[in-house]
Amino acid sequence: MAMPTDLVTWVLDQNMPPDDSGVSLKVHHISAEGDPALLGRLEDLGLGPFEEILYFGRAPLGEPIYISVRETVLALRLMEARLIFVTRVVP
Amino acid sequence: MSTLNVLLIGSPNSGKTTLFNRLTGLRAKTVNYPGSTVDLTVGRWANSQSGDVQLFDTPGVYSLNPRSPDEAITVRALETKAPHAVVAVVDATQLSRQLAIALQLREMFRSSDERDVTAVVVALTMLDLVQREGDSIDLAKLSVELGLKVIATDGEGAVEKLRSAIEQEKAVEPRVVQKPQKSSVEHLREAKRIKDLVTHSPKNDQRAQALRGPRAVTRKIDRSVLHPFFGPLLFFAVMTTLFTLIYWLAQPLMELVDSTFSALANGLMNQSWVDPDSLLARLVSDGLITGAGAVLIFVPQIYILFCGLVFLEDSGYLARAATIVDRPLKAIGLGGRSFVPLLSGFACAVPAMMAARTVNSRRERMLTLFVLPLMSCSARLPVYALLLGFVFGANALQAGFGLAALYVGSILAGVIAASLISRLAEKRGFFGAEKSFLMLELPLYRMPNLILVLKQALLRTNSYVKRTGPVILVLSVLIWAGTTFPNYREQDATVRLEQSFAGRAGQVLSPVFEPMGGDWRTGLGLISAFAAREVFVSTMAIIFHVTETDESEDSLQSGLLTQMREAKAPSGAPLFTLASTLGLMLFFMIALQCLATFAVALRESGSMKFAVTQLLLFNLVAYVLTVALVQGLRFMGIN
Repeated sequence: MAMPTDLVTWVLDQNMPPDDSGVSLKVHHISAEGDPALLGRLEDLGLGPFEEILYFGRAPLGEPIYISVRETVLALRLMEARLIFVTRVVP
Repeated sequence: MSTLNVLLIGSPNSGKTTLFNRLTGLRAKTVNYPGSTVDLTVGRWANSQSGDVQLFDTPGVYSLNPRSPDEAITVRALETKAPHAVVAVVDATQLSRQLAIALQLREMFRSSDERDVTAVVVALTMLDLVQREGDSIDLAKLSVELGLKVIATDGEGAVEKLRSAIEQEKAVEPRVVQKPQKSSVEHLREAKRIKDLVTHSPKNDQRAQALRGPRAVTRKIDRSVLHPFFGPLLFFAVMTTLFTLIYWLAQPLMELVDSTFSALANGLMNQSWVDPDSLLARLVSDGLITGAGAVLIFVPQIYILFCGLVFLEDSGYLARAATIVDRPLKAIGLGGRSFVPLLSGFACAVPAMMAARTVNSRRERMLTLFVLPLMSCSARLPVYALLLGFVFGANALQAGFGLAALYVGSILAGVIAASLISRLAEKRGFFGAEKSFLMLELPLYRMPNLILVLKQALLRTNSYVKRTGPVILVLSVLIWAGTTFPNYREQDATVRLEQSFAGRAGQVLSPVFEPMGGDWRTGLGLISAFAAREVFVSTMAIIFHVTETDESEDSLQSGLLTQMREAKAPSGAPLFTLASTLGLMLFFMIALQCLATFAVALRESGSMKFAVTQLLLFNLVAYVLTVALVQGLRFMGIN
């Protein structure tokens, strides 16, 4: 099992795969350090431990990033994505 | 027979508004949400058994544990609108998330009466998209698992089925809403379990799903729309088109409104039974009819802007566009969603402020509303044309550069104001404790329903005419009265204006205008410009006896320029100099001299304090900067 890293660090370290089906990641935990409203909204969108997310890449200007969780595609600022800790799912 | 209250509740992009329109037909109107200024759309249909059904559309929610002001409004509507039933609108392509809202509603509407009805009906939208992905959903099983009636909204007879389901499930007495006991995490877990149970799919993991059907199409489109090079290019093209529409397409329509109301006012005065000197005739023609014109002049821009905005939103593009410009706007405390309102501000702040409703973070919405009047709107152009004509004479090239500098200046002023105020707001918590965030959902691309687009734009326009219109009407009648009375019988327009309340105020306030290089005449021009900025030019024409007998506007302007060059201050020195004219341009760039903008800011912010602060602050800052510029220039020997 890979060590969890926050989504932003992970994003910045990775190149996107050639196809556009996204990269599978699994939420390890959500940092408790964020604004409560923001954390609440992440929770409402289903972003919690063990949740599978797909990473689709970054916006033209480098931010926000695009992920999909529970059938919904989301754009997150790096500040927002920084709260999400993930592990890589090996296909 | 009584009226049944029914609420439509669902996530953003769940197809709620489309369903609302199918259920209620064309009869819809907007009312205030309880305790707020947000519009709530209400429609009704006649029910043969129990009288009329009144259906309320609510803002989209991600959860009913309110996290944002919009969600709080939906929860408050649930609590105060005394619903007999609610319809939970669930997008079938997002069951694992959106079913959680249906589950929450089921808990909130727990039955306490003897008839064991749930009072909650689930309307399942976009089932066709699920089928195109090669999946199927077992509706009977879904209904059993949820313990709620489930109606698919696609296909023939769906509306009738949904209406009769509401009829069957409605509570006899309006239900009292109870707090949900389970957390949203528990509801989401349950939603996922149910989704996995009722969905039959060839390969049911997210990655496989992303590669087929409508999701794959959306991904493919996104590859171009969000491409590092083509993405911004498309963004530029779309925004240019939108701006062209509100700037150029609206122009002839606005002129039509203007000329119609002038013709009405003149027509009334020319009637044989009307005494043109009577107070009543003046009030009706110059006050009320002209005032109504001042309200309706904005309608073409508002309608066109909202057609474009609703079209872009419904197609799925607007959310993507916001992500493209979010980064630079974030740096000054705004967000990607602020872009369209700010751009529209270059046409007119009135429709632009209304467009700021699409900014979902409250702090970013308030900040957008606050800095919007700094964008150089088209009403400033006639004033700039006059003042640039004074400075540069007939040199069109220099005047062109001057105008460009004014536009750049207005953008710079906006950037500086947004940065300063967002930092202050952060420290002092002006616009609520909520931090600014993006967290934007990118819906699947869809072809918007054009009739629905036109209808939504009409609803918005209606809401403007009904709610903001009266305030603008009253304010413009006040400005008219201030520039007309007490000597309204005076035939000479110049004398009438000089002796009016506004004229006297200008004279009393003369010492205030002197440091900015003007006198009471400039002051009177600035006061009258509160009716609309371009009125400055016509007021100047009246003050300096430039008659409008000349046919073209050009000759009016050149006549006025001649008078301005000859005008002397009480000291005998020229009234309009390079320094004082540059000062006036700076003043017009920053000052909030538009009562229509004030009225819309009042309505859209929902706060008198906000609107008054904005009005006072912008005019005060404009004044201080103008005085500093004029005095600075004079100090350097430039008069």
